[in-house]
Amino acid sequence: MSRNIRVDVAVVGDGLIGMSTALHLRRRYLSVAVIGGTTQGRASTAAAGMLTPACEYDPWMPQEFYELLREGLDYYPPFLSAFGFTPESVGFRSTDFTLLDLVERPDSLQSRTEWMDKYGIENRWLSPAEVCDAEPHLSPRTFRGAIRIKDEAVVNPRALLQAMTEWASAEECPVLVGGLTGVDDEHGRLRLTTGEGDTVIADQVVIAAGSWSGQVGRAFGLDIPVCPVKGQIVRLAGPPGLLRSVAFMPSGGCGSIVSRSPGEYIVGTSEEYLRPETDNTAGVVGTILSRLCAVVPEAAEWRIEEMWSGFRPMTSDELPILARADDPRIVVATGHHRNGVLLTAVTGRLVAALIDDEAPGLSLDRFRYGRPLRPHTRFATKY
Amino acid sequence: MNSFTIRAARPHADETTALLDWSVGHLDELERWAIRRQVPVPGPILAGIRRRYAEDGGRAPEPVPPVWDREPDSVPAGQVPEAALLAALERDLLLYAASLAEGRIDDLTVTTVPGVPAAFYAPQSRRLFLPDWLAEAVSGRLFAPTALFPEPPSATVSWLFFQSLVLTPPSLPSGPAAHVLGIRESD
Repeated sequence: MSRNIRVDVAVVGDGLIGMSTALHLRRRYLSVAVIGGTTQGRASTAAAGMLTPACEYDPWMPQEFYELLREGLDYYPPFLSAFGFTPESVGFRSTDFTLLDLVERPDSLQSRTEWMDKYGIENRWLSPAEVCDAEPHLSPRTFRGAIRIKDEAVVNPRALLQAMTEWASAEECPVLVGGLTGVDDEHGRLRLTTGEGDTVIADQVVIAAGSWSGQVGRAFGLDIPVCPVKGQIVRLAGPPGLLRSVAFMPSGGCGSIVSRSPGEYIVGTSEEYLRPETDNTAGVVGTILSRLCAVVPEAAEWRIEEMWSGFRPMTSDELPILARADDPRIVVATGHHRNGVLLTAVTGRLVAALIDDEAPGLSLDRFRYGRPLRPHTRFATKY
Repeated sequence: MNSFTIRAARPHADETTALLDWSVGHLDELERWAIRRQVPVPGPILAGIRRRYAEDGGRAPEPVPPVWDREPDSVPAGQVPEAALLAALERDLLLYAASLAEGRIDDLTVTTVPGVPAAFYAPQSRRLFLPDWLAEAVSGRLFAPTALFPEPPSATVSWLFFQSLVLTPPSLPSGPAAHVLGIRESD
């Protein structure tokens, strides 16, 4: 039987960003309904879960973006505590990152230490011998050195999404399925219809539909120019404890080796702009595994458990959109690209503040809706 | 105020030959270029290049001086069959004019060439060579609609230049123009 629900805020998107937003809104005693879409190919359950502002930021990006990423990491522990999620239950733990300067790269990464120092990131350049001391299972044939970054973190995005969804359900925040199929005005409010025939009447709407935000935005008459950027991930099983940190390899689509739990290794990834299918391909998986086995030779014996892919929502300037739209009833929270997991918690907090017309506490001008964004171009696949 | 101008030039038969020679000498980059950009190079063109690579051991004659560095046989851009595409390319590259100006590029001369496998850029003469089959297939969408993404994002055609292979001597590696010129396509 279809439902007819009246709420303060409807959140379109039941991924990490949408659910975090719903949780933060509920904590403000607002009534909330979430409208979910397809679970196929969404970024929330595809990501490795690295929480690393130092590795993900590039100096060509505005400083405000680094500040956002940093706040994204710093806010995780209080966020988990506020909603009663134990770190163990969502796989959150503090860890160092080893940013490997792979020989396959034409240019060295060593100069990155300069801006890391400027931004107060605790880091140290390691010679190949020092990398071997820190990570004895890595082969020095593959790197010129590394930057060791202290005290960043990882989280299990699948466990986090499940925990947030359960919290929302327990707090009487309905999560409707079937996707958004219609939008109408109803006496100044917005009436949203789902594919299951449910109706949600809301004072305000948050669009947090990831790579589908452009399509959802059009239903509201908005232009939200995000494109889906595919990433492929492989999960392997091997002996526990081989890595003491997360290995981050900015080569191709940015390789990484994350130990999610003892003996469970998540390895990625690609950046693919032109292949909107949720498949795994020989070229990408082959390259990811080949790089893994070169960097960690013992990995040749690890067992492949699973592989999948997901689509990160990217704007043409690679910055998120976190702002009210032209229609003041609508807040947009999308375009997180590689940083959806890192920015999950802080985005929920910021969007809830925007909905409540409060100062968000961070400068969001660089992330405003309607800033000049070019149409997308056909980037080459990176892996 | 930045500006950007596209001109057109007629193809010469020896340019086609030279571009095919270059392709034989850079087959690995050519194959990677096509695969990673989802560019469906017509089978006979690619097969011909692979056959020559197999016969020559990858050693193609080096054109001296390179034919693509000579003065082009210019025609008004509005009078060629690809006029609409050239207008779109000029419009889209103007969006990147500031970045292009840093690389001292404020104009391009475009030639549509039959029978070649990729888009090529000659930096000395700022000439862009586009395959005729590619020029006919350029879409205003990032990809074709799928069940998962029925409304693909709109796309610029700037990649025809940014992702073109830079024509280097056979002994030197090439790469896409944006990479070689140090231009960020997302700046």
